[in-house]
Amino acid sequence: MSIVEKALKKQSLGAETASFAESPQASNPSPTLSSIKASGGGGLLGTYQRFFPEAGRFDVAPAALVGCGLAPHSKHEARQLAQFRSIRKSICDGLRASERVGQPAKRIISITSAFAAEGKTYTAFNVARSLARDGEYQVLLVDGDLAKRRLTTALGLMNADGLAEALLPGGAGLASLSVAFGDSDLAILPAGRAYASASERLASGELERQLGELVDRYPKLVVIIDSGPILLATEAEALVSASDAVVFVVRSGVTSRNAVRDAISRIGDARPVSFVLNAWESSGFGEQESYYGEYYGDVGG
Amino acid sequence: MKTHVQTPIESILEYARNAWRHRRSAIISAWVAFVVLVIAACLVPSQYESRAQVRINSSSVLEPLLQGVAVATDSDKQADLVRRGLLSRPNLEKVARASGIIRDTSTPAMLDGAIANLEKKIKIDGSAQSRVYSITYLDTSPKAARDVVAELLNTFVHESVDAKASDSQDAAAFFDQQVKEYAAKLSESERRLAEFKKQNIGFMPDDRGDYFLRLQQSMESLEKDKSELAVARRQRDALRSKITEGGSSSKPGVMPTPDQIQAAMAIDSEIAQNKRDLDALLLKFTDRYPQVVALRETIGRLESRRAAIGGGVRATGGSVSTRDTANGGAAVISSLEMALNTADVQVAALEARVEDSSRRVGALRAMASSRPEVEAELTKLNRDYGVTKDRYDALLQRLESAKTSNRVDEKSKKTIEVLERPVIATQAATHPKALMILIALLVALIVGVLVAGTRAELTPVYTTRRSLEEAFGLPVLGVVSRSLSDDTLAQERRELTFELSALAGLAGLALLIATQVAPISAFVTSLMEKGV
Repeated sequence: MSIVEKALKKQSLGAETASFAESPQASNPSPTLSSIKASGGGGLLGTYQRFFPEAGRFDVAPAALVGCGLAPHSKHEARQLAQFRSIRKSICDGLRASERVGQPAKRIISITSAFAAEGKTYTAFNVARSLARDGEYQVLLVDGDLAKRRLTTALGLMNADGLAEALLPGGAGLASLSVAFGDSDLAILPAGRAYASASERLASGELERQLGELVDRYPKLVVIIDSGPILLATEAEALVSASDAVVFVVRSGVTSRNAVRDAISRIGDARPVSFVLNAWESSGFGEQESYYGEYYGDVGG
Repeated sequence: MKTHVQTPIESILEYARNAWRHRRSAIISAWVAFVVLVIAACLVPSQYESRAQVRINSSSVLEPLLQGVAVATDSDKQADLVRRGLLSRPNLEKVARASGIIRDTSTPAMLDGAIANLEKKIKIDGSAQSRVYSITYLDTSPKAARDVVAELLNTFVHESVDAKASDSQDAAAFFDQQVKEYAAKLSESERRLAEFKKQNIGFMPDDRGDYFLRLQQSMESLEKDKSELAVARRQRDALRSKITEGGSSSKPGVMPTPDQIQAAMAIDSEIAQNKRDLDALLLKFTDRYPQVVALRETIGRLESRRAAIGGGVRATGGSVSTRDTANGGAAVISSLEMALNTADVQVAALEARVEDSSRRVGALRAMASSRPEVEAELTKLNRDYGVTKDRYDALLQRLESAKTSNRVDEKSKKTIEVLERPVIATQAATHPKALMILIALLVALIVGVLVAGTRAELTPVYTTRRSLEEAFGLPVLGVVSRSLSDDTLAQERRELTFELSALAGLAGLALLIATQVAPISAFVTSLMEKGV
C-alpha cells in the first residue's frame, strides 16, 4: 500500500478515532459496568440512541480493542478494514436487492463456524462495526455464545444483563438491555449472566419472537448474532434457526473440509448461507482475494 | 462473480500449502526415520575381502596330448570347468567345514543355506588365455574370509595337480594301448598282403610292366616267330625239292649253256634276296606298303627274266646245279641234304617257339577278366596297409612326446603357481556406508514429505476463496487476512527458524556421520554387542 493510500485511510478513520479519544474510558481497556452505567443515559446521545433511546452507552479505546483481540493490529488495520468493507458491501448489496424487489430483507444474520476459535467473534464485531460505520443501517450485535461469552468478556460486559436475562419471563427486552458502542450506530447485547438456564429458553422460540418485533420496529436495523460453534454448542442451532441468514466463518488452513461439510448440513438449506474465509494468508500468487480487498478498499475509502 | 476453474498448477500449489502446514510433523518424522536408518546402516556389518591368485601352466600336460586327437578344448570351457569343479557341493561343504562357517551341529537346512550362500559369494574370475585365476570372497569376519579363500586355494591346487597327473597318465596309457592296437593291425595288414601276393603270384604287376603291355609283347613275339617259321619252312621245302630234282634229272635232256646257267643263278640269288627282304618287310608292313609293292614288282620282273633264260636251269639251288656234272652230282646232293637237315631242325625249333608263344598269348587272354580285380584288391590292401602304418607312426611319435613332456613336468613341478596368497584383511572392503547414510538422509526427507502430504490429504482444509466457493457453490462474502500481533509474528518466526535449523541439523548430522562412518559404526556395533 502506498503512502498516499495510507494517508487517505488515516483521514477516513480520523473522525472515529477522535470520537474514541473523547471518551473518558479511552485509556481503560476493560470498562466496568458502573462506568457504563455512569456514561449511559447522562452523556452525549450517540446516533444509535436515536433508535434505542433506552439503551446505555459505553466506549472502549482502540488500543484496548486491539489488545483484547477484537480489532486488527495497526500493521494490518488498513488492509483488514478494506476486507471488512468488502464483506459489508456484499451484505448491503443483498439487503438492498431484497428491498428493491419488495421482499422482507434478511436482517437477522447469525455468524457461526464449525468449531471454536475460528474467528466468529472477530468477524462479527468487525462486520458489525463496518456496517454501523457506513451509516445506512443501525446494527445490534448480540453475543449468542452463552458458553464462552467471548464478546462480552472482551468488552468487559461480564456483569451486565444481556441475552439470558432478556429471554427470562418478564425480562426487560432486547433493546433495553443493549448498550450503545461509542457514538456509532452500533449497539451490543451482552450474553448476560444467567446463561446457565438460557439454552432451553433459546430453543423455545422466545428469541425469534423478540428479534422479529425488533426488526419490525426498526426497519433499518440489522441484527448480527455472534453464535457458538455449530458442531459444539447446541444453542448455536437455535440461534441459527432464529436468524434469516447465516454467515459461516471458515478458518483458512485450519477448519477441515469434513467439518465444514457437517456444519453446513446441520445448518440446512432453510436460510441462505455464505462464507467468510478467515485468517487467510496470501500465497504470493493468484491474489484474487487481495485484489477484491484492495478494490473495495479503494471504493470504500 | 465469475467462476474460475482451478488450473493444475494452482491445485499443486494449494496442495503444497496444505502440506506446508504439517511441516513440523514432517521434520519430526524425518528425524525419526533418519535415526532409525542410521542405526540400521551401522548395524549392517562391514565386509572384509580376501583374495588369492594362481597361474595354471596347463599347456604342459593337456595340450600336446589332446592336440589333434580330440576336439581342441575350448579355453573358456576349461575356465568354466575349473569354476564348476571348485564350486561343487562336496568342495563347498569341505570349505565350509574347514573355515568354521558350519559346525557339526548344523542342521541340514542350515548347511544348505550356508553352502548356497558360499556359492553365491565366492567369486572365481580368470581366463584360460592368461591362465591367471583369482578367488575372491567377502565376509563380515576377515578371518573367515581368509580361511575360505585359503581352503579353496588349497583344494584348487591339489585337485588340479592330481587331476593333471592322472590326466597325463591316462593319456599315456591310452596312447600305449592305441599303439599296441595299431601294431597288431599293422602286422595283420602285412600278413594279408603277403598272403595275397603269394596267391596271385602271376598277376602281380612287376618290372615287366602291367598286363596289357605284356599281352601286346607276347602277341608281337608270336607274330615274329610265326614269320620266322614260315621262312624256315620255305627254305626247307626249297632244299627238299632241290634234292628230289637233283636225284631225278641226273640225265638232263637239254643242257643249258654255261652263260645261261650263270645268268639264271645270278637272277635266282637276286630273287631270293628280294624275297627275304619282302618277308622282312611284311612282318612290319602291310601289302600296300610302297616298298613291299616295289619289291613285289622287282621280284615279278626278275622271275619273268629267269623264265626267259630257260626252264633247263632250276630256279633254286641253281648255283648247286651249275656244277652239276656227272661226277660232282653226288657231292652236291649230300651237302643239300645236310642243309635240309639243318633247316628241318630250325623249323622244328621255330614251331616249338610259336606254340609256346601262342599258348602264352592264350593264357594272357584268358586272364583278361580276372586280372583287374586282383590288381584292385592289391591296391586296396596296399592302401589299408599304408593308412595303418601312417597312423601307427604318428601314435608312436605322440606317445614319445607325451612321455617326454610328462618327464619335463615332473622335473619342474610348476603346473600351478600361486601368485597371491590370501591374507586377513585389516580394513573393511569398500562398503559404501557413507553413501548409505546419505541415502538414509534422502529417504528420511522423503518420509517427512510423505508424512506431511499424507496428513494434508487426510485432513483437507480450505486455503483459498476459490476452493471454498467450488466446494459448496455458496457465495463467499469475502476473506479476512491473518492479523498477527508482533508477538505472534515473532513466535512464528522463531518456530520457523527452529524448524529450519532442525532440518539443517539433520543434513549436517548426516554429513558428519557420513564422514565419520567407520568409528560410529564400530561404536554402535559394540554397543549392540554389549546389549546382546
